[in-house]
Amino acid sequence: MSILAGRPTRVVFQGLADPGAETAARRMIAAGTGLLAAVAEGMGGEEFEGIAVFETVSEAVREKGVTASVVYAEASAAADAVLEAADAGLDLVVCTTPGVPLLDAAEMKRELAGGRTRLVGPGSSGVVTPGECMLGELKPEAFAPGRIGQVGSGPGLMLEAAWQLRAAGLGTSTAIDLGGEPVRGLAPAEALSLFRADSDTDAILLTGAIDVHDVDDCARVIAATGKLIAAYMPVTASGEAAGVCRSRIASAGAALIDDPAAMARTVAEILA
Amino acid sequence: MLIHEFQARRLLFEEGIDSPRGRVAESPGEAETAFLDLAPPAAYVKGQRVGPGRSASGLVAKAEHAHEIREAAAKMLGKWDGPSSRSEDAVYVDRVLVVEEAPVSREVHVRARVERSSGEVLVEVLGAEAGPAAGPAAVEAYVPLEGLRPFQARKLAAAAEVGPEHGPEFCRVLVALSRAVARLDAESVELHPLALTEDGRALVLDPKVTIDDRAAFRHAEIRRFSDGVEEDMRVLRAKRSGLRFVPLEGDVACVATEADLAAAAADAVTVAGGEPAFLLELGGAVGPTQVAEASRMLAGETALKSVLVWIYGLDLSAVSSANALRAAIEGLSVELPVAVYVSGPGRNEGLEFLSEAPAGPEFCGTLSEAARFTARPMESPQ
Repeated sequence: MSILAGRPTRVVFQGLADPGAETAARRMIAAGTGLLAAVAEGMGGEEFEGIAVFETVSEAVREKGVTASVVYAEASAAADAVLEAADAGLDLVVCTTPGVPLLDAAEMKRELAGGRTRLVGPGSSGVVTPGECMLGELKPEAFAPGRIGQVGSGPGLMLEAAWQLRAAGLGTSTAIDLGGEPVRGLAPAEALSLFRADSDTDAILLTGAIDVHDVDDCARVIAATGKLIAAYMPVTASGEAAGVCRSRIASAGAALIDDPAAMARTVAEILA
Repeated sequence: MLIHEFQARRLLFEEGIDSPRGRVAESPGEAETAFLDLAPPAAYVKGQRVGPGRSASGLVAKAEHAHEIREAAAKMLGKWDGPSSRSEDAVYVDRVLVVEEAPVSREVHVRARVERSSGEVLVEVLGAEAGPAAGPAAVEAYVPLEGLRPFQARKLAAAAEVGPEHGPEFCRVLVALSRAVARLDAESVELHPLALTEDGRALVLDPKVTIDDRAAFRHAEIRRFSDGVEEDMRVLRAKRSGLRFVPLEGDVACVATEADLAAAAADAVTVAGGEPAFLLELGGAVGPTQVAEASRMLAGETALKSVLVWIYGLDLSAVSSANALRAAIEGLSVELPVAVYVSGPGRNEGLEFLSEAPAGPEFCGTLSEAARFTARPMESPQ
């Protein structure tokens, strides 16, 4: 079992006509993702790498039974794409677009609240279940299958952490990049809760900054969860608020990592 | 992006929110003329720079005579001033605003901002006696495109104890403010304060508008404003080339392919006993031009002791970028001790490629090793 997405997940790629999208789609296929459809305006009826291209997400749902999507769109079109995915009743949308205007991201968040569609991003580099699937633009070769859940807010540290876990022989169950945007769908506390319920995850590694607005919820989940949690949150280049967040997370029971070179080592220590 | 007061006044005016009459002046003579044209009993001269602390810096003065206006403007124009004592934060004040004094009977502080967890916008009225730092006395939430409902504005007016003589005008301004947030793509709009005047008007005395620059593609007029807003020149220069620069206080440069890795590199340097000077993010899809600009920026930094370069997943298929990166690292290491740490997939091939340089940087097997080298370059074996 994995969280959010695994081998059986049926995926549609939204925005195939965007620059760089085809490379990302090919990389997803290479990672084993069940990419069954793509959506691109004006390309309906065509095929891409043997995958059917549709004009709308609803058609992809009807014809291919997709339940998850990856949104690859310009900042000006991201909100429309995410709302279309929700309108089509998908379970999961991973929006990779960075720099989405605040009010557009706020609209996504509001429209999806309480509904069935879960949004990761905007600005997420993706969700990976190593050896099974990758939704987004992360490098799957950085990850090895394992039992450590990864939650991050930026691709760099997330990939470095995966690389360290791999080298330490630990590996990743699922990795979720929540994105570094000020307004985003899946919150860190929700991601932690998902891992908490996952029987294939033994410990969780949190990388990147946690926003002041999110820290209380995170601390509650960490305190309530039986799972081991290690967290690396950058200090030196962050403001005072980051220090407060770090100590809240630590007092809730997470093992704080000071040295980014020691992320996997710390996870190994708490598991021992 | 926080914009200038005179820019905020203009934007809000177009949204139906008035300010006291005023004019922008770029010389003491223009300021004097502005005062004579406005002919108020008294006026304020306000030096235009963004950020807090203008009064404390002497950038706000009140005067009743034309020659006083001229003198006040002369003192402000051409001054280097910033919101902190750091010289890097100081900017050149090249404009003043001359505004008439309004017949204020009461001041109310109002703020509208996007609430990040719900995706709604909140309009907050702060306590009658409180300044901007105090918590809100009353809050109403609304959906950005719909704006505040009139009844919500009336609730806020009641909470702020705004009486019937100002009520309708106060409520009209609140509704206009709520619509302005969506129309301007603002992160927040603060009226600090909104003055209720003896003649029944509501005028904003000091507006603070923070524009969401991610939405600049929707606003040609706002894009132009960014020309007038100052930042650390190095930050601007980096931004122009698709890089990201974050100034810190120390002497070890932390360069990385991603922003969060640069921040992590700074932590590793701190753990090793060094002091990071700044973060420089090359960006995931770094091209030869960015590399060239990054190395020019590094060469221009005089107070550096050493440089830590962290490359994650070097993509050797992007030949020109990889070559440029190697050349830049080589060039840099002639001047300064440079530690290079390569991690991620393709690490070994990347290292092999980079270390073809004849003389130069210290290639480190771990991040800690690289950090120790940069923290104490003199003690490390070259």
